[in-house]
Amino acid sequence: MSEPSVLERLRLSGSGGAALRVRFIGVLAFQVLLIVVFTALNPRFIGWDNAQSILFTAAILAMAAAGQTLVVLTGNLDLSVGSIMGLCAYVVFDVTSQAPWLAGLTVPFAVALGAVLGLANGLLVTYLKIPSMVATLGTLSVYRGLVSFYANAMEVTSGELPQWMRTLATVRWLGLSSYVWIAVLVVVLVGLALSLLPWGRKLYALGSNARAAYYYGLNENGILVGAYVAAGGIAGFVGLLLGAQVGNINSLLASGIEMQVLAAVVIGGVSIWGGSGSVYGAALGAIVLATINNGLVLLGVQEFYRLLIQGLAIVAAVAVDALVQKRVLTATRRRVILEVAA
Amino acid sequence: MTAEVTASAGVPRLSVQGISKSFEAIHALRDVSFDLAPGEIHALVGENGAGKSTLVGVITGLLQADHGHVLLNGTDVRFHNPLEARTKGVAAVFQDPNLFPHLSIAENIVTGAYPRKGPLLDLAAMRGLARTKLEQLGFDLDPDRLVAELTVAEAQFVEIARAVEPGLQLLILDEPTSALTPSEAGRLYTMVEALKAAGTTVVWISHRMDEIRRLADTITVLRDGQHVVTAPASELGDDDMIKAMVGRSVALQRVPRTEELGPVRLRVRDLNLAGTFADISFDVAEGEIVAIAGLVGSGRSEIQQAVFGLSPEVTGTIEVDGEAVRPDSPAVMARKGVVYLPEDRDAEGIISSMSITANIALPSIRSLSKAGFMAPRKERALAAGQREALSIKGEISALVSSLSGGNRQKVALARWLATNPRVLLLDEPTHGIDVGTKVQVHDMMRRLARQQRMAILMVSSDLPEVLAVSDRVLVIRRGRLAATIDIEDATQENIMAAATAGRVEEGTK
Amino acid sequence: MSRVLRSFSAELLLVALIVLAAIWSSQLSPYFLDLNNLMNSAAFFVVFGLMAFGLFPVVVQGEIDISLASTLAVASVLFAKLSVAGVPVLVALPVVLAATALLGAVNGVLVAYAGLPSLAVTLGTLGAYRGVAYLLAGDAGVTGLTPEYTFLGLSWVGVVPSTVVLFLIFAVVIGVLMEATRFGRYSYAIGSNPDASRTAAVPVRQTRVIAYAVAGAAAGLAGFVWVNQYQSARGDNADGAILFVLTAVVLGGVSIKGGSGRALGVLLSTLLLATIQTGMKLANVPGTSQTLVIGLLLIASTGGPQLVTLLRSAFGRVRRTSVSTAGG
Repeated sequence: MSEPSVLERLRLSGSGGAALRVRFIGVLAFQVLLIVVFTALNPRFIGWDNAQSILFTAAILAMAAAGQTLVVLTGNLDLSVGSIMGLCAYVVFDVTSQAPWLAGLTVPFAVALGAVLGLANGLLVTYLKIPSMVATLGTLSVYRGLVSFYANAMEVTSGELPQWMRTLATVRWLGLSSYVWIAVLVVVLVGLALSLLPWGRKLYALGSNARAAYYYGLNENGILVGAYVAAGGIAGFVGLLLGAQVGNINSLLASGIEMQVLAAVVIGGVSIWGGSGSVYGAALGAIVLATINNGLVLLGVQEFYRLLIQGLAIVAAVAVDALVQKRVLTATRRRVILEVAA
Repeated sequence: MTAEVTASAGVPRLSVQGISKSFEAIHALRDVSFDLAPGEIHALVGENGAGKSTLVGVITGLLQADHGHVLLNGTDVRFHNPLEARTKGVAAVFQDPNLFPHLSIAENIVTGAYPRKGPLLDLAAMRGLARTKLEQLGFDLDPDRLVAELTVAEAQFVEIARAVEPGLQLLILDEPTSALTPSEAGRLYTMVEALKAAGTTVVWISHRMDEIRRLADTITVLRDGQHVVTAPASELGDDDMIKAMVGRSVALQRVPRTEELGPVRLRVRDLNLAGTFADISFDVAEGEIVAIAGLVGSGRSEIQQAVFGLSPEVTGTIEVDGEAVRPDSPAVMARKGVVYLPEDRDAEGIISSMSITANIALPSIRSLSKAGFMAPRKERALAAGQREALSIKGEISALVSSLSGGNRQKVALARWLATNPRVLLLDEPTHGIDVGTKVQVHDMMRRLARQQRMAILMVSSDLPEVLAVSDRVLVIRRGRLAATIDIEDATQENIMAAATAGRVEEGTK
Repeated sequence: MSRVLRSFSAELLLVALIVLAAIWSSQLSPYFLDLNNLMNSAAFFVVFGLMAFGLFPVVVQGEIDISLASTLAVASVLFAKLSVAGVPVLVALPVVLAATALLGAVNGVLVAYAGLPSLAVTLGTLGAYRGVAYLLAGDAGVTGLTPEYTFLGLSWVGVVPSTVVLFLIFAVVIGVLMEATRFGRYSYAIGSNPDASRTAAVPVRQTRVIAYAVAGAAAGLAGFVWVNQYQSARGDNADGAILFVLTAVVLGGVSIKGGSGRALGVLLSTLLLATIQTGMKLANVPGTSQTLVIGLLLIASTGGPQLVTLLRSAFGRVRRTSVSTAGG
């Protein structure tokens, strides 16, 4: 009986680790490739002005993707993100337009409202055991219906928005839109929460192996509800920023954005099976989408190509993740039994 | 070792008192009582299905006992989940890995009990803690590596490192060396002895005589969910131990075969599946019943599954009635007349939300339907015929979920018999079935082989069943064919010995 | 008899709800019960109903396809283009249906052979197919269709619009497909237990691909009805319709986890949703608010059973506690 050879050992070990580590670099390489291709096709693509514009477009998406990441890490989805954004923005701005002394409290108000909507999502998924996709598809329309009921076909015009938010939407700090800096802050905060708070680590653990999470005594329902509440709060905040940027807000604000948010998350390497990926990857995914958008516009290509490319990118990203996941899962399967040949 | 364990003289570390546990009609544990002394290595042995895993589940709070008590250091404890057991110093490493593959070793070790600095995770402390634990146990692993890139043995070390904590009272290891190389196992032996020296009681579940001899202070044997004996290792010889394990109470009669065997129906040569089994060759003749014996996890079920086309990546040759066939999918094999009855019939064998008729007709639909349309009358006739032949209780329109285990098994079998198969692969055909039905199933198997001239390949952990039904026994040990025993020479003892054969481990010290 | 009634309890509940919704709607407006109004309203829901029946077998198999509305858009644009190009409708129909079946089969292959999660796959193709539809249609869309492509939308069979008749025929076809054919039996088996189906030699992967192809073809047929009814086609046709479609399927008693559900249930739930929406329209409830009700129905129909279980166990616990208190 001898020790297995190096090759034998390699064959027996899961190769998922390397795959997981390479995943983020893959997105980065894709982003570089996009820059090279677009620059080659149109030299005007490269430059500070255009970069500013791309980052500005990516900012809102990156923040929304940060919230979505929390949910996707657990192996679930939140399709209602666009409706939460729209509802929070409309309700908060409508209330503050009628009660201007509340203008300073818009942010906590929106975050709290979003968190409540997220709580409802979380309860539906955990206690009523509705598959997250169906539950949040339902709340997508319920929340949108609520805001449309509330708005009653009216608008909040830009003049009615709190002055400080209107300023915030247009101001530049250090040459970049304030939104870019806020997005960096949000993404970094979420990133730190995921890596430094026990709660964040539990999200990963739950998504990685729910059965093991039970053995380790993690409270699955609590963790999941927490993820939805946090995602809802972030969506409420992002909705506010989007509203201030758009100006005139109707009940359809941010409708349909969930597809782009999910696309950013999936392309950015957050596994749809849960347990792996990072909020920085999701933010990079948002920049990739913004780059595709911007590049296609510069090339004078119809905007419709965006949908096509975005869709194909999702399928490609998931296909890559499927390969990674398959390798990773060898570590949770029943142990190998073959006696190594003498 | 950091474990510091207080022990008051005379009080057992763990006392199992009158534990019973049933799953539906099956008594997994019946009135089991024995004591574990402080700071001993206690081997828990028994055949597959003897109740070892159920007992571990009850002790660690994964399962709740129907009757009885568990006393830890003289105090009655009833854990509701594994975490609660851990906080009281009772930890187990199960056979199936329970790790987070996407996360680092360090994180896997601390999950659930994170070291904190204020509200934040103390990453340095986490890494330090993990490194210290691994070093103390003698495992040379970088805590930053992801579990997904570990070998099976390394992943197991991580689980053990996670389980071992200061003040650990009781550590249960369920077949910890089944996937390890000798030197890896040697490291584990050293570690377990160190734990013992520090006062932790270790329950070591194993089938390997050599390591039981090497490690165990005390041995407890379970059989059929009942406690047989607890004795100091020095007083229980190998032969006595095997006798205690295999002396099952149920007497099954062998029915001598009068019919001649026909030509070879199933010929398997050099079957290999990476990491699972290797160099498997055997024949099964027309009219013959061949049993595959071996421990759970030895690869015996995987061999059957590969023959049925469930592992398309397998290499080697398979011939059915002299005709070569690539086992690419169950559909391919079923067309050749090779059919398979899985062990876990509720998960893989039947569709419990469908009717008996629909279940029985499922594999035959192709021949029953015309231009894609099904023929309900023919289906019912088929189902009624099989119900009659196998004496299945229940109307054919009833849902399979309403049937007892034995009748579900009959339905699972009936759906294949309806296709007139040539080779029958049965995995634990009577697992979890009451004795009366068991005898019926055995009669049926004999009839199918002897009268209907099928070739039957049966995997079974039930040695009396193997002896009563089969014509030849293949013993698989760790993925290899360890012995072929003709039924005339077969005894429970020599089968068990071949399945567990201990070799003297090299490189262990 | 009572056993038959019990096995159809979901359908009976739907019938009761339809009656209630109809009474409510007729209270809102005297025009609701007008035969003409009823029939015109029914015609409006034909495209949704066709997609629901296309989605039905996919959900029975335990999978999902949220790209159907985009497939519909591709089909409607293709029909419009072929019409403008002067291709006879009897040539265009099989060509376009085959093309949309192929789009569906692409989803199926990615799900069944590549092993990708169906939601992620169809989320991707939802965007991709929508992009294809826009690209084909251009900014302005396609108008000026020849009468043979719009004839169906204006014709009646007796008092019933032809499109409604087409829908009913399709519903029956799918119903027969699921009840009486090998494909249907395989679908229920796969949805109930994919592992057991595989060990029963059921061709799991082929059956999945066929279901997706059927769903694609159903969306194609819905696209045909669309151009007949609206005499034009654009890239954004039926955008967002999947909510209604999925709700109709799930509300009809088809478990999202697969393995159960009947065509009759899907038909009745489509009818119920149509009645409610028509009622709300008569009551001048704006379109987006109507989605509120549909979303609630979707949640209630999927979460309802579990809610009942939760309540029952909570109630049961109270009762047990009181018993034990009394006993002690």
